[in-house]
Amino acid sequence: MNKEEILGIITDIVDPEDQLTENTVIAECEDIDSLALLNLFLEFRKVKKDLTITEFSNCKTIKNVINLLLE
Amino acid sequence: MKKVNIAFDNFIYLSEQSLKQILELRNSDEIRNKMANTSIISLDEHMAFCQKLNGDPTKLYIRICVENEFLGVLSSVKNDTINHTYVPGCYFSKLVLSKYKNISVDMSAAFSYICYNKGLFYPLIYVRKDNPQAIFYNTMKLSNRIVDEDNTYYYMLNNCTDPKLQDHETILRKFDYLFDKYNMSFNL
Repeated sequence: MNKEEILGIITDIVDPEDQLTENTVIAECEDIDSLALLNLFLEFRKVKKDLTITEFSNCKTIKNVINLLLE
Repeated sequence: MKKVNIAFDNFIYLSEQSLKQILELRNSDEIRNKMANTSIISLDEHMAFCQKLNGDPTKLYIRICVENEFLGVLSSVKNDTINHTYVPGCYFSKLVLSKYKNISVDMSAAFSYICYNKGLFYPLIYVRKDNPQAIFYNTMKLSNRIVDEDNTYYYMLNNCTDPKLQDHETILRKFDYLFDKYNMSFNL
């Protein structure tokens, strides 16, 4: 998976009113609620099976999520 | 943009009918199974608990209504005005929550504001490890930090209203956006 594909998955799950970018701050983005975060975590754990709750919960921005998955 | 009307009412001022409505949500599977106490609470237990809240400074339970619709509950227990600590809790109706974008985050901020004004600055947060949605909500949406864990819980801190780090005006300014977005009435 590359950066664009990850951003595409995030956009599909969040279904935002405003466009999401790498610089989107999760805490400040009204389109990303806790249910969307849960769904993202479950989706990304399918491709990164060792992804932990604490690793994911440390992400502050979309870029952090992308980098975590590209590690 | 039209402001949304929000009412915060202390349980001690609520009618029996309103308290029953709260119990119904608290006992629903979606809420109960994610609480520290997962047992079904009887009406008698609930009413006795609510009655004891009057005159108990260590607990604060607040019902939130949005546009006159019951949204959920904010609570603090183990309130300690000497050490300025409290243990916050909340639960919301999924149905009502879905009608208002970001409202759970805003209501948590509003509760920090209420607690700050009551001399409670430091929330001691614990979240069940088997509730990832609550963990993500606390860490990624509310910016709480995990500081410890045991087999059952993650323990978190937030210094949003720490008067050792910021002055009174700075702390209050953090909540200005709530008053721009909502018409809030408090019956605490």
